[in-house]
Amino acid sequence: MGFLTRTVMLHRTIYDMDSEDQEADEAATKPTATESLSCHQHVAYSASFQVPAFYFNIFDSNGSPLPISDILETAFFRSSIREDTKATTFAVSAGDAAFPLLSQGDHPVLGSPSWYLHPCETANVVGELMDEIQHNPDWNDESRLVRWLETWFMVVGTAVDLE
Amino acid sequence: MSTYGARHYNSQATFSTPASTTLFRRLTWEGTVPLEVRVDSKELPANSDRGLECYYVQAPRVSYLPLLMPEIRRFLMDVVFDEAAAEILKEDEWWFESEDGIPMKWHWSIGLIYDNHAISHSLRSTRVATSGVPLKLTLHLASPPSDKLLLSPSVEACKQAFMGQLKEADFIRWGNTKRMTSLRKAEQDGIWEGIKEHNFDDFWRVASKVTPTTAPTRTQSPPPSSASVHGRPPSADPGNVPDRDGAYSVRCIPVRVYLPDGPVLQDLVPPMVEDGSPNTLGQYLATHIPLLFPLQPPPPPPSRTNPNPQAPAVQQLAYALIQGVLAPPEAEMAWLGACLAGADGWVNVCVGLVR
Repeated sequence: MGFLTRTVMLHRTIYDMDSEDQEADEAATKPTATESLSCHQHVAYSASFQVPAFYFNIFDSNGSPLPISDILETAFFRSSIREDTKATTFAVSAGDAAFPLLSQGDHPVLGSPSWYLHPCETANVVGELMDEIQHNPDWNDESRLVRWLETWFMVVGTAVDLE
Repeated sequence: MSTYGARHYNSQATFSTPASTTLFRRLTWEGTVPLEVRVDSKELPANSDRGLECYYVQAPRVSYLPLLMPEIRRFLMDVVFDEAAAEILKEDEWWFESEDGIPMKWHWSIGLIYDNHAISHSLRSTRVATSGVPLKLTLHLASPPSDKLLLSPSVEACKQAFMGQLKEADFIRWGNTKRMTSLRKAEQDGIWEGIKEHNFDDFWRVASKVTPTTAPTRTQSPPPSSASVHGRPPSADPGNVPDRDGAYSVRCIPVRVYLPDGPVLQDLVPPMVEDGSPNTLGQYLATHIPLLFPLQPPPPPPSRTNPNPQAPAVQQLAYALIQGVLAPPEAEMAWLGACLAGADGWVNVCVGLVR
């Protein structure tokens, strides 16, 4: 039971909202500082769906995890994800899909609280792309699996910024 | 309970749930655990009536901590807090901690929390884990540890977590979530209302549409063409409609194994093993955690002096709790999935150590 992990620094702009300014027009608030955010990213195996799943947490400069509303505001999330989705404190859902796109849950190895991109459609989406490129007769099983994982990262990259 | 079972006993309708299945589902549903909830004395608001801050409840195993918060709040308001304190009480800041200092996961069912605590306790105590001692919980009113607990406990978040588990269980069983997604919205909401109101009939009216039954396939199926008595593989009998929804026809059973103090194991658990016989709890545990559940050696061949030889005794190192019950190794995984799964569809096997 292993998993891949890395930590990436992100940034967000802080708007000065101290007490005197709260009455002020929102357009008048100016960005005052940049806050560093720490994004912990994990790739762990989903035993239920038999595919890798992308888990992450984003922490502010005090080490507190960001709630979903703030996560969606970061540049980590592709803006396309914010369209046509509905967010609660627990999950982000698109349309009438069976599973939420993004949800809270226990990390499958560490048991710690995490956000994860739901892996229910992963096999179908990656499989569809693989069908288009799988005709290369030179590939052995291993290079096919590597290609599968590369394609998986590409698919995940359509939702979040993995740069 | 017995009257409920009797109502179904003589029913031979193809899709009815057998009385024995209903009985075990009823027993699982009615299972409760004792909780002792005490507000952290350091966090009591000013003017609290100290000495009364302890609340006892016999909580349903299939319920969740956020669902208990309203009654705990009522109790606290009645006897402990004054009006001013009510203003500052925010339930989505509440969290519960065991005596061992472990924060309780609000998205786990209360039965799982209780059993998981029991097995963790088995590391430190020789006390039998299944006795009905109250689980002592400290209620903290603020600052939940965000590195241990999911954010923002609320009834709505709890519902979303529950429905997510239910759908995941559905996917594991059938390889898709068609059964869950074909439920109307009112039905999906009805499942959760059944949990919230602890109403067995409301819950199972809908849940029985997604949960396999232990239909008596041996009597209803056509005579098996193969010689194997246990031969009930999913593909062998495509025309047999009741069997298609049967507990032994699922692709896999949603099972998680909890070990003391931490790791949760999950793997695909098919209902049948390669030789066509039902997968049992003993086989499953011996395969996945052989050091704790070594396979029983076979008995020696019979001889004149010993015509009925017994298998040599193996020292028991660990035990398995399912719904608080010590589960025998010969229990079939498919049966457990149909009868002893939690309301979210998962069979939770808590492994404790024998000391």
